[in-house]
Amino acid sequence: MKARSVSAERPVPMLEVCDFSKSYGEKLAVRDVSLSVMPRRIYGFVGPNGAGKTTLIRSIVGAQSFDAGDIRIAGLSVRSHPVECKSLTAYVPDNPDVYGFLTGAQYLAYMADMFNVASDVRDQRIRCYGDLLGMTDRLGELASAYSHGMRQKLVLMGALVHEPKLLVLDEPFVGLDPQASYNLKQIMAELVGRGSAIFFSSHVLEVVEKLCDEVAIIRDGTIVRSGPTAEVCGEGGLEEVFLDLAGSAASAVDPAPAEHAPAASRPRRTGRGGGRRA
Amino acid sequence: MPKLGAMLRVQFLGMFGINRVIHAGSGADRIRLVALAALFVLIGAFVVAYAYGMGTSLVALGIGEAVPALAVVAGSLSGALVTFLKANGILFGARDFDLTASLPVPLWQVALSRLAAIYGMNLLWAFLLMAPMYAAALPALGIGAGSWVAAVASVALAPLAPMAVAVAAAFGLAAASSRLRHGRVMAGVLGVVAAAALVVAMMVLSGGMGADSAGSDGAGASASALSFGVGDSASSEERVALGQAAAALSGGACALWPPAAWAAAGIARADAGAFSLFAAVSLLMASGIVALLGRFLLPVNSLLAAGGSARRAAAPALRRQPVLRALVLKELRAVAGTPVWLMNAAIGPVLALIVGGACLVAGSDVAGLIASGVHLPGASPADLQPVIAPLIGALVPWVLAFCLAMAASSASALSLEGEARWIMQTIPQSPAVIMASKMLANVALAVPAGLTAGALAVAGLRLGALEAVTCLVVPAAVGLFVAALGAFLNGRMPRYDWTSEYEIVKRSAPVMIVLFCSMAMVVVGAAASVVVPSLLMPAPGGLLPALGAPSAVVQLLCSALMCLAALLLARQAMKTDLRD
Repeated sequence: MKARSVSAERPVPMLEVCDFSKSYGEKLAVRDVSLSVMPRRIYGFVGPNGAGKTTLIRSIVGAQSFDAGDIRIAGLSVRSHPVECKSLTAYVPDNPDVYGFLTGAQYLAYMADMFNVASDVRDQRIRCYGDLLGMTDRLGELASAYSHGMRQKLVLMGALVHEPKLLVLDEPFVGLDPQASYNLKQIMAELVGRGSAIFFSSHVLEVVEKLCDEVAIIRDGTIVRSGPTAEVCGEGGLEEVFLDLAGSAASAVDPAPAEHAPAASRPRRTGRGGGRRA
Repeated sequence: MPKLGAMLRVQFLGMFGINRVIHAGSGADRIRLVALAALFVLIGAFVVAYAYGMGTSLVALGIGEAVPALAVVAGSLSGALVTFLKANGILFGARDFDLTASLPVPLWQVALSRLAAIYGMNLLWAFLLMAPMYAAALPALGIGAGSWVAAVASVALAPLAPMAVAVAAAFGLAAASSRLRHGRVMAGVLGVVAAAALVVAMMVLSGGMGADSAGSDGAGASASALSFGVGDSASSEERVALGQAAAALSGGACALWPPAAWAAAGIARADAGAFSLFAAVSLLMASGIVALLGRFLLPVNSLLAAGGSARRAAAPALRRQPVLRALVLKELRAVAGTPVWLMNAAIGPVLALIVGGACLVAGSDVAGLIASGVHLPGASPADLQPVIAPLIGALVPWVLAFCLAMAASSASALSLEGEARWIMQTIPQSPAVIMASKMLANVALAVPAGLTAGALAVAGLRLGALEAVTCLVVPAAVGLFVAALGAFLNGRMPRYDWTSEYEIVKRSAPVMIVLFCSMAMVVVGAAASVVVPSLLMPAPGGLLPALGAPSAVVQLLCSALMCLAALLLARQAMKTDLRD
């Protein structure tokens, strides 16, 4: 394992995506996407359904192959050093499917074993996160008996048990109760404070705007806007930008939207601040 | 009822991944589907040939009248077995149940669409089993048109009532397993015990009847007679004895399942009342189970979805494990926690242990026992015993190997990762380690059982040193081969989009190919172990093959070849790209 040389001026990005492309058969899902996430940063990744968010995320975590470009984690290519990259990364998928035949504790022990976490460290972390997420007294039950939210918490605990350098989250707040959502935000802030980076996708734009240092908007497999959150959002906010981009995309496809279409589906032309803000 | 039609269509399209191949399948997918279809046709042809042979045998014995009852019992039994295995996953605990239950469709229609999918499979099996038996026997009975109509109707009706019984039994088992802490393991263990008991009971029954045939009443030999037909050389006394045995078999079957007797009376004796009773009971039970499911499908699924004990359970101490051991342990927990997988993976090793135990108990009398269970016209058990005795040492290793050939947990291990495969894909372990763990779990299930069974057989049969070695080596080699072949095939043909584990464990292409290949290999190996030595070193008189050491050498060579193949397959399996 040999990391790229680190210059004194510029630290190695924790995640670097270079000219990434992926197609499913003849359909090009993601085209020439490049982005980088530095340590201690939270990077938000937003876009409409089917834009290519999960495709990129699954390739970053090694669950999916890709056609062109490269993905580097702490300077290591996922193509040439897949195992090393995975040992630095943790993934929380949008649907928390776990092994239903294992108890919560067995699942966490399994994940800790896979990431070579020492016994005392894993005990301490599992107790800490279990207490924080209200799972400690439920870990002896089979995961098949858990609710969606409990499985989500279990997957989060499994992701955090090895203190990842890069945490990749796909819609992490879906299914979590308000308390757990609040706790997750705290956990994310603490993890970043300890030097890790977080890359996450979400449709909850307010949360992205509030949590992320940088943000990228992907549409039809291409990044259409990216940069520091304040720059991307401007004065109108991320929702405004997102909807404006969606509107321009829709008008590019259909310049004269049908009058009978539901109002919410019509692209808005109201300009900054004139739209519907939550 | 267009909605019912739409639901039936979805059930049909979901079967065998048909829709996936139609809409998104690559050329390779289509080839796989064609290969799978060819395998099904082969199995179907075997079943048809076997059933036709059975029908002609019974006619030859002069008891063609027993055929309708036996045919209905066969169709009913297959219906009960298929339903019992498929109900859990299609009716109960289906992944798409919430979605379906929330549709604006009466629940009885949901139940009917699901039962129809199971009934379709039952009907296929009933047709394959019953139609050839009827075709072989009914013309000889000289029945009228009404009886022919009844016979055709019986094929459609036979699986209905057993379906109802099997659905109730499957629900009982599922409910028990969902309420208990280790319920799923218990359900799997119960399934293994039941399947093993069924096999042992059939063998004991066959052996017992064979033993009877040696006695004064001569009411036996049904196993060999029904399986291979009655030779022209059979004497009239023997024919009478075989006829009595088959009639007793038919009578016993009717006593156990009275609807079979009613159907038989309708077909063989044109008893319209009896057949009407059979039809009415079948239709009523089927309608009843649809109505009951329409009423209780929701609470039943809620009960199952409620999971295990309501008590909260905190985590026990978490012990650190080496990576490979943790992966193998997880695989074994997956097998234990998936009843249908446990049944499939454990039945072979359990049968091997039973065979080994039987050898230990029977000791050197085993040749005599087998001789008494085999009926060959004109040969007494005393004549057969010296022929069988030298074959024991050559064939026992292959009998154990045959059992272990069924134990291919690795053939479904990758596919069963299903929607949770992201865990396997994202943990920092190489595909080689992950695939190795799946093979090792298979080996851990099969090889120790094979070695133990071999040791029991060696101890019981008091075999020579070389034969003792083969008793241990041959089953172990087959266990290794099956594990490697299963992982290799599943690596190339993974299917993650299943809705029930049954689809993968019972009818996925890798499982069927492994079963077919490994059993064929065992049969070829067993034949080579007997034929090659007798060709190279024919014994004086030409009757008894000169087995012993030459046979053991052939077996060891076969084992070495299997180990080599296992090694090559394992290396290929470990190169599997686990990414989507």
